[in-house]
Amino acid sequence: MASFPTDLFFAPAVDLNARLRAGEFSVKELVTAFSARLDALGPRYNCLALPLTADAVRATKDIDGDFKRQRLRGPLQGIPYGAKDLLCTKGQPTSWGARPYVGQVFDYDATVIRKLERTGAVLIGKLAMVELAGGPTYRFAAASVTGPGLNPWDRSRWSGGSSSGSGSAVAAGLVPFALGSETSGSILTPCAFCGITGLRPTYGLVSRYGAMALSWTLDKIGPMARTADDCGHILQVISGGDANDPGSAGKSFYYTPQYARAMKDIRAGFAAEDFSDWAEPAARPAFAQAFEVVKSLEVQVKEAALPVFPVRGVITTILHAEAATIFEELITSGKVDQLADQKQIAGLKAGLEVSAKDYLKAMQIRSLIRAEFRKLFSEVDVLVAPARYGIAPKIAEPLDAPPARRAPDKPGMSALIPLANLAGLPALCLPCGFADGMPVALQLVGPPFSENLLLAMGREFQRKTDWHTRRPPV
Amino acid sequence: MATFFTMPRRCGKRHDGGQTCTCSFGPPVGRTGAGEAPPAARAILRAMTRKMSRRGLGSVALAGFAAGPGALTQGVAQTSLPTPKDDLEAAQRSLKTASRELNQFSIPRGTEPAFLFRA
Repeated sequence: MASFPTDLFFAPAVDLNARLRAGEFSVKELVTAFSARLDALGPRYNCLALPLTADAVRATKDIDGDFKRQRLRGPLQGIPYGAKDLLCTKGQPTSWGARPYVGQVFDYDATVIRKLERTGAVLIGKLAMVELAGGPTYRFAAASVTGPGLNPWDRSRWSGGSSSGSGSAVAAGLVPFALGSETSGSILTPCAFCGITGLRPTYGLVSRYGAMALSWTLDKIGPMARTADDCGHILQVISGGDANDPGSAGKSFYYTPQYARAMKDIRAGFAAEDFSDWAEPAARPAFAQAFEVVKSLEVQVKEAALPVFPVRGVITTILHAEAATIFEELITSGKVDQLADQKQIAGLKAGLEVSAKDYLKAMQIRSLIRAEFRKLFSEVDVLVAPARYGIAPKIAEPLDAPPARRAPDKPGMSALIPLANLAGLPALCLPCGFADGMPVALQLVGPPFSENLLLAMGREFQRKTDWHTRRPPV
Repeated sequence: MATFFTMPRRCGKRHDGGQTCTCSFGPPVGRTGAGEAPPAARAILRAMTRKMSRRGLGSVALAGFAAGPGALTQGVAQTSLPTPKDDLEAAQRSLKTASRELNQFSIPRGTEPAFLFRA
């Protein structure tokens, strides 16, 4: 059995695939090494929901055979990965991070799991998550049957949610990549807090069949990985139309960075107050430096403003109404009280009372939000903003604590995460530096189906920086 | 806002806000004046706060002690966590505020809701 240097556990998936093709080691050796690391270190970060080592090692035999016979199936062939525990896998428990669903078993694989299996990627474990992907809302990082997601950069801090295990596992080099999901911030937040690269795809681009539904009109599944390049390759595999997902856009995605638009032709919109006022003081130097790198890509930088809408009211209404309807049986049966987070329990119960009128008004305003974004994206091609304004909070800090600082007068892009989710827009999260020893990140947001543009810009950014290659003291 | 539960001496159980711990406080830990915690009780309280903090359940603050004649028999601690009733009321308030925000927003005539949502 090969003994792997630590560097290998932090290598991008495409590099690992190249080394498999070169015969440096076998898929079985690679999968065994990653599985052992995930089993040993996963509990340290509360990031492992279910190890799948035996199944994973069994699957490697055929894939090693394919490599020997030169049946090459793309850059993810032979690569181990982890999946957020809201994606079902045939015959294995899928707990959705929540006590009432512990031991739940499905008899089919989620579409994304099936697609990755077909390309030769090997699932080595289900990764922990905030219960019910956060439900309508939650108060504590500990809102999970597996406990709070601990950040590999500082275990007294949160890894972010709701894809908390996916964030920790990739950051700590326990898997080369993972699948996460986002309803409003659940991919971007753990990526930003853990210092990894993540992509929230356009709504409808990736099938959600086999994934726990939290909000039919907001849920998306996306890759969390080391580089923008890896995210592109993963998205190409998992995207595509699916008759089993009524929200599917019926579109595929082909990762074609070679045909990307020249950087000088890209108009990047930003809000100055994001970097000067909204960002936490300790994070401002990192964001300022990162923004200088963005400018050095020779993109055309111009100030932009987000459309003004009652975004909190819209997303609160839609999310509460849809989540409460989806989990109505859980709520009315009383099993909802088994959840760990009191605020989530209350939010689900209250969500049953949202009126049809309010829900429809929120959806009307949502149409207006999409129309305003269409206008905005006729003036700029991409929006650049801090992914989160500060670093990961301490695990005991209530997430709904009132902010320590007064909100700045100008809104900047502070509502970009909920607004862009309401409009179904894609976003790329790029690590861009450190504040108080913790990672911070930028987000790039583009019009629907502009993933190739975001990834091209992300690749250029990562060519000029090495933040994505930094690793925590595991 | 307060959740009260008896303060355990060696309780390994998880104490979420809103739950009552039925663990006994254990043997008397010292003498105390009215409303005053003895050093041993303060040490237990500190340990419990550390444990809750590690689990992300917030901190515990001393609310008061019921002292029997001559010996301390029971302590009560107060978490900073809201009760389930507080939370439900807050969630309902939040949805009412959301509803108000939606109703105050002027929606142009003929705007269709984003049915069958497509990006």
